[in-house]
Amino acid sequence: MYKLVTVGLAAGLTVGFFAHAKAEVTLKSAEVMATTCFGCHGSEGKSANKNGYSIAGKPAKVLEMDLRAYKEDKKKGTIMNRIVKGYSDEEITAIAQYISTLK
Amino acid sequence: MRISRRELLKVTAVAGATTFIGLDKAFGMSSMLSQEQVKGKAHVVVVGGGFGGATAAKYIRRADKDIAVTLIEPNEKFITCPFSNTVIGGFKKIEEITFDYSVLKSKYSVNVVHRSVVEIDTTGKKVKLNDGKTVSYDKLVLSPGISFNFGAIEGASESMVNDIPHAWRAGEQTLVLRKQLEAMPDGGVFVMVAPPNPFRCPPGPYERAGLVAWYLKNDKPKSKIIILDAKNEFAKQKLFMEAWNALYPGMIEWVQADLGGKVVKIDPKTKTVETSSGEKVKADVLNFIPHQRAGEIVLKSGLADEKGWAPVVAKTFESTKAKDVYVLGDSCIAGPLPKSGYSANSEAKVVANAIVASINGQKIDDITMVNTCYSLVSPDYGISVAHIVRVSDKGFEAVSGSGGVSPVGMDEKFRQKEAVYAQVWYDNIAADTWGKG
Ligand SMILES: Cc1cc2nc3c(=O)[nH]c(=O)nc-3n(C[C@H](O)[C@H](O)[C@H](O)COP(=O)(O)OP(=O)(O)OC[C@H]3O[C@@H](n4cnc5c(N)ncnc54)[C@H](O)[C@@H]3O)c2cc1C
Ligand code: HEC
Repeated sequence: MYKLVTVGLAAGLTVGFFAHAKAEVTLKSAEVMATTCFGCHGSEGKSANKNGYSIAGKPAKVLEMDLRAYKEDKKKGTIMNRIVKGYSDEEITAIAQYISTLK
Repeated sequence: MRISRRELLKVTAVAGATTFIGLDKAFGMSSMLSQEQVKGKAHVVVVGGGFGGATAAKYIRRADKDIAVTLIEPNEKFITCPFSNTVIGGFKKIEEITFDYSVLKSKYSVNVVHRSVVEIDTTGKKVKLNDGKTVSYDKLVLSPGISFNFGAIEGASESMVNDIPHAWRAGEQTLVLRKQLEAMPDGGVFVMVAPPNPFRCPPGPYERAGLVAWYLKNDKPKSKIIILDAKNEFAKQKLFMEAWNALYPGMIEWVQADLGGKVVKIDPKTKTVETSSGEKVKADVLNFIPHQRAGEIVLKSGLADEKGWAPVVAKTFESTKAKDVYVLGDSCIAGPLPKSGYSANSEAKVVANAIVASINGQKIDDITMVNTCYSLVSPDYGISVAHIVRVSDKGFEAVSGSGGVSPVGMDEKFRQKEAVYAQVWYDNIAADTWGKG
């Protein structure tokens, strides 16, 4: 029922934390992961407070770029750097894809 | 407003609700709610309409409209502990931290029953309510928060809370504590007794101390705050200390357990506490925060371990002691996740997914989830801690190299930004949990 988001990772290149050995993240798990971001980004990714950041429906590429920039400290936020370091690249891709589908 | 039975049926049909359980309450039928009465492929009963329970109810319905959800919560309004320290500090009103269940009812067709659960029959799969009625379930979710162990300290008892509020559940006691601070003379002493681990909201006592200091500094600058702690260290300690020194120099004295902070006895009449070293400290306003354990119903139902908290399977939050019973939020043991509203909200999404998958015969994937606790040290000074935790068959694992606290030594602007983001977090998590009512 749920499509697999297959991330183009060459075999043996699954670096990172051992807990993240899997290179495949289902869209369903991406959805659950993304919903745990709603605590700060608003229900369905729409911020209820104008000082926050709505993320719903942004293009997956843009979301992924932002998230990677925080992960690699190319962009400095107050908290996103600390948070996004907890996600594998495959998870970031899948989460970004799910969030881009939110209206 | 009175609605006829036929109208009600029409309304539920239009709303696409698949549950008839609401009728039982509306028309005072005294039947046991059997499976036949619950339309839909399964009936999930959620106990507790706080951060964990309300979120779980919503997200189960969000995922599968064919699953009927009944939320059992005694109170019609929920007052959040998060930001209750801003009410105690005097810069927010209690109305700003109060929510109801109207959105869960109208938008998600959750059947909200304002009762409490007094008994759980995990074999017969039903719960008994305080009005004597029984509700059957296919899956049971428990998020009843915490209960207090007054017996851990000599002289302490539940009956003293009107005079010595803990305010560790928000509501009347929050206001009592605020009023006592308002009535305290300049030069008075505010004594807080901080509990041992584990407890609800690890940075909470220290946030409270800072926001009380903010009030006292502005209104009663000769006053003092003493924190007598059952611990030798606390959450975000470096950040709190840095902030206290900068904002309230000399006002807050924190006494760690081994250096005389451990309180062993309390005399409620004189608001005097005695420490393990025999020293007596008299308070003008005393905030005694009791030792804590899982919610009463979890303890009573044999779902807790010997320390008083519920062990669960990481990936699903299903109790290790009873099948089809899921415990989340403050009551459960969730590895590195602290007992916070954010944890409970995130855990609820994992639980909702696990329950829906189990009902539909689908497999449950590993999940990476996030918790963040913001604390305010003044209205314009915020600090934070984040936890990113992976739940898999291996259990709960904090992802190494991630999360952690705000950096020390940052400028005012950075702290101010985090104070703004703390409010953003509050508004968003409240909307995600109860909706805007
Ligand atoms: C001062 C303070 C500040 C805090 N600040 C923050 C913060 O900034 N950020 C953060 O993330 N967390 C914060 N917290 C922690 C947060 O309040 C809790 O971790 C959170 O409420 C836990 O959610 P829960 O669902 O487990 O319990 P709760 O939210 O307490 O909900 C439990 C519900 O269950 C109901 N219930 C209990 N027993 C029964 C029964 N038998 N039958 C039916 N219903 C029942 C209760 O009425 C209650 O509504 C703070 C806590 C305190 C005390
Ligand atoms: C504790 C609150 C918090 C959590 C949890 C959180 N974020 Fe953020 N997010 C922020 C803040 C605050 C910013 C602004 C940058 C900063 O200060 O870190 C931000 C920025 C972003 C941005 C850039 C937005 C823009 O328009 O520039 C994206 C994308 C994003 N977050 C996605 C996510 C995703 C995905 C998750 C979950 C994995 C997540 N966030 C979890 C608070 C949070």
